[in-house]
Amino acid sequence: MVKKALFVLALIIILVVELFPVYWIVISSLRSRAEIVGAAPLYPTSFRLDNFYHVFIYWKYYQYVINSLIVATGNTVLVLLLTLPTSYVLARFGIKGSRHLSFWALTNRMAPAAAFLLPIYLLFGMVGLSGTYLGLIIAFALFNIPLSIWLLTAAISSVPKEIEEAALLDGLSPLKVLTKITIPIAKPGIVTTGLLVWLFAWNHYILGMILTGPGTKLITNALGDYAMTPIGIEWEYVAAMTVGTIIPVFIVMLIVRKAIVAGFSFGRI
Amino acid sequence: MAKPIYVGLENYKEILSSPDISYYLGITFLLAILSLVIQIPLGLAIALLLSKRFKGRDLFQTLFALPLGIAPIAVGCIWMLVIRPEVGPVPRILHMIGINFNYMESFWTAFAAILAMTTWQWTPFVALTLLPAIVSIPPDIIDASRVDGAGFLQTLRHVILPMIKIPLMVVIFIRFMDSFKIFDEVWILTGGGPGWSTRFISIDIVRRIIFETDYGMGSALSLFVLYIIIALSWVMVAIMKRGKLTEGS
Repeated sequence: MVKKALFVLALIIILVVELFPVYWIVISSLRSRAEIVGAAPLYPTSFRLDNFYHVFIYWKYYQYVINSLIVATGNTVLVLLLTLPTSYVLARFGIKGSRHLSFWALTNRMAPAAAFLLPIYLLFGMVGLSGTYLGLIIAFALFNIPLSIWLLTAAISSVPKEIEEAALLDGLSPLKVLTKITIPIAKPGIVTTGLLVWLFAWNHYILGMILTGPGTKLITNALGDYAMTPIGIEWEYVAAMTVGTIIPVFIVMLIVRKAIVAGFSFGRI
Repeated sequence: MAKPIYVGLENYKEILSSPDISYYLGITFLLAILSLVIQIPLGLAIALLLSKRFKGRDLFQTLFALPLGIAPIAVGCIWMLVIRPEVGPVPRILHMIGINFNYMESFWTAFAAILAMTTWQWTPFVALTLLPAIVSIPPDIIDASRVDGAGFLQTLRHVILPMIKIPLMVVIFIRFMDSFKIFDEVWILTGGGPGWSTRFISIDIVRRIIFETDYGMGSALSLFVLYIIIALSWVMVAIMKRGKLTEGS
């Protein structure tokens, strides 16, 4: 009995610690500045959407949300188009040097984006990609291609080879086997990969600091710039912007809920 | 842009001899190591809790994982609203029990705040990565060690840990690298302060390149960090290969 009570207590404490900051930003985004700086109680005190209206409509921050949507979605399409064939080859044929490719992907994923800042800034400036959607879409592939290769290679490896061989014997061309058999079976893994790629692109900040122009500013960069004001932070707007940045993420996480519940498995790196 | 001047290996010499850069690298390694020391045991403990079946576990896991997806830049903003003295409930509650807490007071308070922030965001990742491995351990193996009279810690050390070795190494590696490159959330929460005391290596590189236009040192440092990452990745791959070999035998 005591053991069970302790178990439940532990779960409750974990959940409260993990969710309190999120709860706090949400109720803060619905408050006025006077309430926020005036030692407001821990329970919700008001429900005003003025802050959201002010930031996203009046200040036209919806533009940055649209920019982020365009870049994250474009990046996801580009990354999946490039990595689906790559991962298929890595999963099915032991090509020469594939171990080096995996290692390169690993280091690229692990290296700080800050270390790529200068070369990307100079190169993209030279070819006119600075401040364009295309520039951001290509730059974010830097860290998303490795991630996608890992996850897709695992997803495709889990499709039994025998099914493909049977389809080949039935007279399907190799390309047809890929598009009609392998991809549909591996679809849940591909969808999860795509959503995670999207999430990382949506959340990225550093490369946007140098690659966004006035017309292509992303919501994360808008939030960062706004919250970095040295004095007189307008807390209610920071809170509303933060919540606006998080909402799409929570939607994605609810979609990939199944993958989260199963836990993350990195057995195949 | 000024005309570039060829300086040979001068920039690398400066990296190795400058006390500032040694300090920035030092605190970056310190953060990465302390993140592991705190987050791995905590995540493991939570994974062990979650490995028991209980009603509502799926919902629990989904809610528990939410902080994982939040953009680090937004995490910085969230924590600012929670721990800044002017607005945060945490300093207010601490004040009630007689502690005046301002995380921008000194290096250690800022460092502790950053450590708490990353622990909050990434412990769920550690727990959810170890969970499938723990769940897949056949229960009779654990029961058998219990019957043999092993206590919980002995079972953990001799039965559970060896069986989750590979995911454990992977998660240690990923957490180390992610802490090593920390930028966004620190950028918002402390901006590298107070007085550049939390200028972790990524912050140093970004400041040099974007705000101080010190391209020479900026790129030398970028490459230096890449060498460190490549070396660590190489060690990691070697360890994992050995782990897989011993597992097969």
